[in-house]
Amino acid sequence: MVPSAYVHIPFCDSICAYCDFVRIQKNESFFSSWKEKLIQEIQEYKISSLHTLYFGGGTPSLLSVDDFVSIRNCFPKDIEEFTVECNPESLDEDKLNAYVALGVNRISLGVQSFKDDLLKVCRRTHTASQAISVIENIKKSSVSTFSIDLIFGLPNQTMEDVKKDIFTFLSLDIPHLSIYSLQIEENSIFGKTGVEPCDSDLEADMFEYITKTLEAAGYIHYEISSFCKPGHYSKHNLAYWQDKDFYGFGCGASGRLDGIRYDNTTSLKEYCSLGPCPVYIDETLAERGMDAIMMALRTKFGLNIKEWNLKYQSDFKEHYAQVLDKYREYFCFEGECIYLKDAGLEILNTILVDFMLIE
Amino acid sequence: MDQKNIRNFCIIAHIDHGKSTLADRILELTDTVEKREMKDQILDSMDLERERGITIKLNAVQLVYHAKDGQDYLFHLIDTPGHVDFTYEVSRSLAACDGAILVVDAAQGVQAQTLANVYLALENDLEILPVLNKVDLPSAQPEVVKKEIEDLIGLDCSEAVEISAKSGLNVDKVLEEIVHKLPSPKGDKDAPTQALVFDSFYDSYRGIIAFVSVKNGTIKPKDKIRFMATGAEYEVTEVGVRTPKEVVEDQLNCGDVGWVSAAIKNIEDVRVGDTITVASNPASEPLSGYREMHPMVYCGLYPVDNARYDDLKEALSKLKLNDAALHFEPETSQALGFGFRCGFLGLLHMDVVEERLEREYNLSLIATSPSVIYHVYKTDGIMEEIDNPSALPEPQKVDHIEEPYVKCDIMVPKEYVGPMMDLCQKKRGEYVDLQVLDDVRMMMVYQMPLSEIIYDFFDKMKSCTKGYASFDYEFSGYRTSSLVKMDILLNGQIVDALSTIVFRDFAYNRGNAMAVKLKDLIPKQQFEIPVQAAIGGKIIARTNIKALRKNVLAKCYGGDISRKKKLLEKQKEGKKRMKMVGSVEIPQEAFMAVLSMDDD
Repeated sequence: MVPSAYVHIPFCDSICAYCDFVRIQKNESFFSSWKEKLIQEIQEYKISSLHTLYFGGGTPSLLSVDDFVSIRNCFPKDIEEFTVECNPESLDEDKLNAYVALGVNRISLGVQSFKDDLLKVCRRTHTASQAISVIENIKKSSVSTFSIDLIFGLPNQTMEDVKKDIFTFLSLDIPHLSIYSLQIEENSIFGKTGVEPCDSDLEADMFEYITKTLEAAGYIHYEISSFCKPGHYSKHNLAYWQDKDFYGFGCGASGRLDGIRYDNTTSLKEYCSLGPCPVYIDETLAERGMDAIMMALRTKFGLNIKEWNLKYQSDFKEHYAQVLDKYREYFCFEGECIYLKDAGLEILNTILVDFMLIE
Repeated sequence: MDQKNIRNFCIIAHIDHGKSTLADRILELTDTVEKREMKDQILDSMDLERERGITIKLNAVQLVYHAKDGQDYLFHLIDTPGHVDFTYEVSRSLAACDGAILVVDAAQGVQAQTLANVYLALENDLEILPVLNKVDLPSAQPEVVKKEIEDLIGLDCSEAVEISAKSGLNVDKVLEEIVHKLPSPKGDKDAPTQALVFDSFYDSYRGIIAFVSVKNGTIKPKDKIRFMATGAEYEVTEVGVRTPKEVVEDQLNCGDVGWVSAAIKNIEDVRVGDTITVASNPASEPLSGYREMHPMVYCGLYPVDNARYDDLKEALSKLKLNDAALHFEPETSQALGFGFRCGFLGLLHMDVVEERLEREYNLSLIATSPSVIYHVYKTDGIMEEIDNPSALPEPQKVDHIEEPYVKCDIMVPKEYVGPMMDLCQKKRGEYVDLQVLDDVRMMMVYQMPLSEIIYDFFDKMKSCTKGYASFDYEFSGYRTSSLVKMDILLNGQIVDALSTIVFRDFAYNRGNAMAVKLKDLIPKQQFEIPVQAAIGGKIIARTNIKALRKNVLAKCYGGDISRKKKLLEKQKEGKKRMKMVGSVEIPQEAFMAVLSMDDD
């Protein structure tokens, strides 16, 4: 059984400056054929049970409750974790209650910053106080858990700004945080307008502050950008990091079935006329093994060497002996698992490149 | 074709004065190349040439011109490069010709390389036909430029044709002038064969193909030919011409310019400048006229991947085939492993060779900073020629060092004489002369160390004269200078490939500039890396590359894997191109840092 499914909702009201995901301003002329194709795509798999379901975007909370229902109903009724990404400006109390009634038990709210001028820089269309009141609403609702997204390393953001954001986050008593250092993507507005990346030492200082403060407050730093209170892990995201299969539905979605990854078309026009047009990614077993390493080392659970050796028909410790030695002070072994200490997580790319250099 | 109806000529010009464009028009007007096949600057067949707008390899094309006197004429047009580094190429093509068209930009006038090329042509006894190009530009001053040519070169310009090679204006007149003013080849068809080898290239099916200008006699298939300098003998399999496509002919006659294929496998047998004769009736003497060119600038070339040493060796051997001035011999560096010390005529030549190696032979290379040849006089009285700073003997064993000087002729508009003089002085130039050329321009003559010229003189000259200065130089001799070897230490360890020889008074500035530049070029690594410049054991400059603290992708979910992997692949390719020296990874550009730093 494929344990997880991701549904990509590519519509947004406005385009955020950092984003380069497949997203388009909501457009009525495409919408009904998009919905029809999406439902068709999902129904083909006749999914009878599912562990986690994730509606991401784009802005899933832009969907009307009716549209939401018709997509949601393509999936089985009981799902252990059902997350919907929401934006503060499109999540009112009615919608929230409707979601809960439809089985949504986890909300992921795009807050990004608690400082209004930084929100403007990001071209977000909500204010910090709007976000805070939505957070209060979520807490009052019967949704079982939720998360917010924050970004650091934004243009002209100071260490003080970051401290304030973390203080606000802690004061709101939120069970999960995804906090990303700004990546300037080539196809984002930031990328196209030539925004300079944050000084890497300052960024490192910010990250160390965040990690230290949240851990002191009882949060578990379980993935590079993810923190949670005990028991509030994102089960869906862990599926990605722990080398599991997952469906990817919709225009711009990616999935993995029987270990083979695929990317659906990113053209909404194509999707609306021809459906998902998935492109399967031709990877050797060794390349898939590398994918597994790249994902697993992001988490505090690390990589299970025994499982990896079996699955990818190799000997991890022998094959990568050189890398393991070069970075020995960054690695920890525990039982069958190998994981990275904090300092190692921060330079994961450097370490991964050395893994990749071993053919 | 009757020998008197043959014209062998080349086009000489300063860079960008339009010689390749004129060649294009001539090919069009004589229907040698159909319009639809016409690419701009068709003679520049290497991608590199077309991209850079310069001609590197000369090309010989045969074309038929139906003249106004009703007769057909056979032209052999040899295109020549205009850049100062490629003087040797020009001299080769000139020796194959009887006449030359001198193209001068009617707006810019005579430039330094115009003069250099004209002198070479005169040395080769060529008839020179002056032509003024770009007369359709608003800034063109054909009368002024004509007077300049008469004053500076002493050529009669009263009948010089005024053309626009771009639009084709008056190019037909140039063709008539070629017929009437340039001489036909003087050789004797029945004399023993003498054919000058002026170029060659390697063809993987046919072996080495020689380009020749037949000065006497004939060459045809089945002839047993002898290369007079090397004594090698081969049986000719095919001969022909280029139109510019390759066309097979029955034979090459006296006066023809074409190619000879003889299943030649040994690169060493075909030397540019050699004379081919026919073994059954050999000429008693080879032709003269070629100058042997000596490299002025040396650098180390190393494959990034040490396993590709043999590939690099083979690629250099092939390039050497049609690049007489390229020299190379094996060398070893502690930092870079096995590679070659290569000699070039100048920086552009070096650049072009490097780029051809990378492009045409798919090699990834590290080039070390260029060096001139120093004469190092040791205390034991022995002189050593050193072209590699790391080979400099210990200071206590050195009595004194001499470095090559060049005489520079710099043509510059009056208003830039001041800044240009400052620059020359900064570069240790010694004032020789300042002449008024015309109302607007002066000719500055300086004696300068060649090492300062290969360093960043071109760029600095361009920026301080807004690109209006032009420049030529020739070797003028060796002089004693106060020179020291400056080492660079990374993480406490000397990197031999980064050592340079510098003028003692410049050492502090250059050491600092070099350390700062390396700090920019070398990516942060897991640990802090001290960058130091040192003379002898004494540290003269220091900076640190801070440790890398963060290099991680914030987001990586199911849909991100492909993209993020591509990003990592890119980092991996970058890392592959780095050289591990001790525990430090150094990118290729760092080894050329000395060329791009700012020490003002």
